[in-house]
Amino acid sequence: MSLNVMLALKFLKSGRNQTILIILGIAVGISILVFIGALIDGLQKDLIDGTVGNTPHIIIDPSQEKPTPQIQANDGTIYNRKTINTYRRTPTISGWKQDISLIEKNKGIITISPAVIGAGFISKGGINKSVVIRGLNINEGDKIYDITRRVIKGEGLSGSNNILIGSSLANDLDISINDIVNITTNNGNQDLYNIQGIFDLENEALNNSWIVMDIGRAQKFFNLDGNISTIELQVEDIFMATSIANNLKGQFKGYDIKSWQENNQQLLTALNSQSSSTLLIQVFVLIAVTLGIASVLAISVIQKSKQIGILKAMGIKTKNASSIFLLQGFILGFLGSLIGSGFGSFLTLIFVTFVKNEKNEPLFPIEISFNYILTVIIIATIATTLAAAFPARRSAKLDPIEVIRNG
Amino acid sequence: MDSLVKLSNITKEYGTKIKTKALDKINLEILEGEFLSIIGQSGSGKSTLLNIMGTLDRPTDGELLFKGSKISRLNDDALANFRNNNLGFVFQFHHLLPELSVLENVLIPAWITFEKKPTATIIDRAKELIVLVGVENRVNNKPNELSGGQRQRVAIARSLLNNPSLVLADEPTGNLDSDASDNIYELLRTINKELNTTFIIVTHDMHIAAKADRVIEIKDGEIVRDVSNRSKAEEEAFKEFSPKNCLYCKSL
Ligand SMILES: Nc1ncnc2c1ncn2[C@@H]1O[C@H](COP(=O)(O)OP(=O)(O)O)[C@@H](O)[C@H]1O
Ligand SMILES: [Mg+2]
Repeated sequence: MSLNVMLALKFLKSGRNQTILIILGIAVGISILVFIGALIDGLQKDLIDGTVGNTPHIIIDPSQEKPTPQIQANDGTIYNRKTINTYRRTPTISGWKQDISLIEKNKGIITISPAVIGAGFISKGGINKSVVIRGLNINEGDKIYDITRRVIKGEGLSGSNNILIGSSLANDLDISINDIVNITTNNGNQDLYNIQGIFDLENEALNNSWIVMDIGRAQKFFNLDGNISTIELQVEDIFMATSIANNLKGQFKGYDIKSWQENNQQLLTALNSQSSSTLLIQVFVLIAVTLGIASVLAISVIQKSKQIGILKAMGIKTKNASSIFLLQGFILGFLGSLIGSGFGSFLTLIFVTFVKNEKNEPLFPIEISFNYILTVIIIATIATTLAAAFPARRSAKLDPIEVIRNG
Repeated sequence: MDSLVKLSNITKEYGTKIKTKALDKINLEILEGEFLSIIGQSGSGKSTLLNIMGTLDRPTDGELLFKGSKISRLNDDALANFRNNNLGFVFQFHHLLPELSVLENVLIPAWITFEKKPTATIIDRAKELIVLVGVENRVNNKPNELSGGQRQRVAIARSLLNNPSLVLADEPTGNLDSDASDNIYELLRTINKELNTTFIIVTHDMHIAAKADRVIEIKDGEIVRDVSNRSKAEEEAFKEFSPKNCLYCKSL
């Protein structure tokens, strides 16, 4: 053991109560950092998961047609070409099979699901309700929407004229399994369908409006002639969605490609401001901890000025005398943040164990990240060591003659 | 005998506006192996002189030589190193580290030299010194568990650990009763004889001063007497410093 380490430890040991108190103080501060960090992280992951978990991360739509150019006739009357054309179709994707094979070449994409989306209404017993008709390849679609698992009555989709409908819609129209319902599309096609299953997507808007059928059936129903409406993707790392979307934009022209981030600006802004306020809290906690250490060590350097004076008279080098206090800062900070991380993890565990929702599940999943704790320990230890720089400087400046002369 | 410490025209002034001259052009040469006493009224400049010789204080003017080399111009760390290798200190208020045991306190000079835990040989030497000063039954006690005399003995053992050529002691027995202080002086004297260590001791005690090889009396920052009693018979020397002849005592 070197001289300065020995003395730092002896000084800490001699002021045992003070040492324990300051370590506890640091520990409390650090446990708050760890707890808040884990809580906010879990909350944000849960929010993002709730937002993008069972939705597409990137949506590829055909470009919306531009407003039709206006034509001015010789007599000055302005005509829209639209008024000349009788019927204007919603744009569709015709070369989607090729598109998908090109999309597959991009890295980071885990699901590619072609879909037909159209509006219509469902009729039963004289009541009409407007619905969103989703034609899906159920194998691919399930990877995004997880519908089959969330069928609460009946069974999963098996093609032909079978459909799945949302639970609220089924309730409103008093529909049960194997009922036959009449569905009309907004372009006037009409057909009868068999209710094969009722799903609950834990989202009232979807439960109230979605009708899911096989994609081939939907193409025919909407007279799409083999075209589809949209391609929906899920990516491996949701935060890569925008950059993957940007790559796709470079590869495909004439499409409207959007990542979930672009469609959830508000959520992201909210999350960002939450993160910044969390950071602010953490920084202030850290500052409080650092100031605490600095003041304790500033007092300690005064308490120990006699000892430092004696050591200097006996020939201790200035840098060794100063490092006694830097080391104390380091030891206090390291022990404090180590204990604090333990505290914080324990607090997090208690929160996960005892704060439950009505289903007796934790409110949201919380993970204690080893990397986060390591970062906290490193930053806190550096901060407290730096906090000791001021008292260390004082001890460097201390002139032994003052101590010797005044006893 | 060789010259150990030489002061030429050492002056020390305190204060910037109102200047106090604590030492005024002191010239003094101390020889290796001497046992020297400094006496004088309170405020006469004894401690200032001792601290300058110990390189703890810097003179305003003049030159300090140690074994013939100028040391007053060394930087702080070089001076620290010099003190650690050559000097031992015994202060009036013993100045042990309360956090350390007796043995650890005695070992400090070696810890400072090597910057790490001293070797077994040095620890043995420390224990021998502790035996020499007679506190061997208190090796692992803390200073606050010792009497004043015992603490001062520990401080003496500590001052000797690095085999210094010069030990400086500022009223080392100022706080002790006369029996205890007699014992301490006997001890210092023994060490002086056995190890040929040079001692400079500031003291109030005329009996003690009389036992020194050489007595210097300071008044208002100047040396007013420098008596060497090596040359005289023991009795005469004592007479010289008997209260009747003592300049310092008369002014009390
Ligand atoms: N730091 C200081 N500032 C101003 N004056 C001082 C200081 N230290 C000592 N003195 C003055 O120097 C003179 C000598 O002091 P000192 O050497 O301590 O005397 P002694 O040890 O003989 O009692 C005294 O007049 C004292 O007041
Ligand atoms: Mg004095």
